[in-house]
Amino acid sequence: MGRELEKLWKSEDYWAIWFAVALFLAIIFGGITAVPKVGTWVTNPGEAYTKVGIWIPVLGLGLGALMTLGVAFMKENFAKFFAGYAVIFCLAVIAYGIAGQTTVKAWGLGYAIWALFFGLIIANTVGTPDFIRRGAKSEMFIKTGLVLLGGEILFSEILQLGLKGLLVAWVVTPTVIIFMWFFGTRWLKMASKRLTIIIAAATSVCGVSAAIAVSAACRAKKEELTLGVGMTMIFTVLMMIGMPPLCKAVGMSPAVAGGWLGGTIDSTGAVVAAGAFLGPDAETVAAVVKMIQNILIGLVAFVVAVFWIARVDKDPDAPRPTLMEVWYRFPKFILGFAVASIVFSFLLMPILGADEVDRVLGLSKKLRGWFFCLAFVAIGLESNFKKLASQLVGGKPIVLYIVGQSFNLALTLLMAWIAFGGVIWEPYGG
Amino acid sequence: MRTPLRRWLALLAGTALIGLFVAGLHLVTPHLGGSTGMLIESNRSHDREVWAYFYTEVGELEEFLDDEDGRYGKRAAERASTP
Repeated sequence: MGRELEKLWKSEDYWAIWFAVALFLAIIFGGITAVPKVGTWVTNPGEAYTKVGIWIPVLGLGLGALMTLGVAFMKENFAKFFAGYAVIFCLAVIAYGIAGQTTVKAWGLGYAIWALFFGLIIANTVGTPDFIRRGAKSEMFIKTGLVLLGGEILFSEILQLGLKGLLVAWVVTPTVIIFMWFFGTRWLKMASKRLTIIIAAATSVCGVSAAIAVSAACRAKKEELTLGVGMTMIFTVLMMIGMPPLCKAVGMSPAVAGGWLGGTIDSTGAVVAAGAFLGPDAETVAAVVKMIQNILIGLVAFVVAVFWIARVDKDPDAPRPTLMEVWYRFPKFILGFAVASIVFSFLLMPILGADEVDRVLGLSKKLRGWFFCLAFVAIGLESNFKKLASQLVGGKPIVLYIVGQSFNLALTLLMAWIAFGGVIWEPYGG
Repeated sequence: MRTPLRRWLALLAGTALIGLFVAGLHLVTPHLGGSTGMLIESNRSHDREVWAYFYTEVGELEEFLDDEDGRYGKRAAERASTP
């Protein structure tokens, strides 16, 4: 019990919660009134930074100071952490800048891919210097970002999001995850169960954010997350540009097409872009279906964490783990993630009101983006191409993605047709 | 085993490749025809957050939650569910 109490200030899991709580409180009580966001540019990268100017270094110093405090409590060398963190933050700023180029942005190539690239290039050419490695606390960045993300999942909105969307998103998502899990582990016999569940979650829930949440829940290796995210981003672009013309070519109704796009394209932004190509009805349906699917991220991460402790990581000869054992091994930041969601949905929404919650979440989502960007730079800096290539041997991850996504496409199309095509309810739109 | 100089050159080459990729993409995209060209141009002209990883990043949060004006908010969702 004493050791568990000590973890409150000695483990990254708990510190992720404390960092997020500190940031939420600072926003609510007016300590943080704005969070800089790197802008867009066409041919002059400098344009991206002119509006935010001095505020980017201020943000870097502020987040650095907060995390350095945590690192000091964890009895690690905080000066070395801060030095490494400063370099990682600079790389994150550059990654955000490239993602802000108007054409790059229009293709959906976000900061995650650039952050990974920069980290990977440094790690695999000159090598990651030791002082930077000490600042590369990818798990701490990811977990803090995830607890901040929890606040954005408003359960109170679920009931108001249409039944049809629920039918498409919530029937298909668990079915596809279970199908891909069994296909990957039993049929393909993939060497890494963690990579299997990351690809399954990214395919069926919401791409990059689901991959991040699930990888943290099952304590995946950095290379596994890198591979899952990389594959997801490539296929997202292909689906975003390929699916809308296909829907048009076969004369699919905008609502059915919207349901199909919303349920299958991994990245939320790409869903809206593809839906908009087919008109406002398709865009609305696609966005609502995706939003409902997004909400499942917390539940999926929670279930994966419990499943991993109780089944996957369990010694086959050992008895079933007790509830206390499950508690000790459970990644605590997932509780922070769930509690943030519950507090915002059922406590802050009624107390502060929707406008104030919008303001708070408007700032926290920007902070969350910075934490994820830092995490991807750190992951890149700690990954190496040889290990990445070894994950791809035999092409099994790609086969898993393609077969799973094909199943997802077929099942979602069926459910979208049932929900929006006039099978049960009147057809939507017109 | 690569020499330090070759390692630094590889780093420079990698960085230059990223720059070339971005420049190439920017130059080629306006000349893309068909639905791909239209879709990317539409994304660019509407300044969409195409890389958004979560629904709250797509636009301002009000776009999703606002009762009166929300594009994807409760009204739109209710409209999608109402026969």
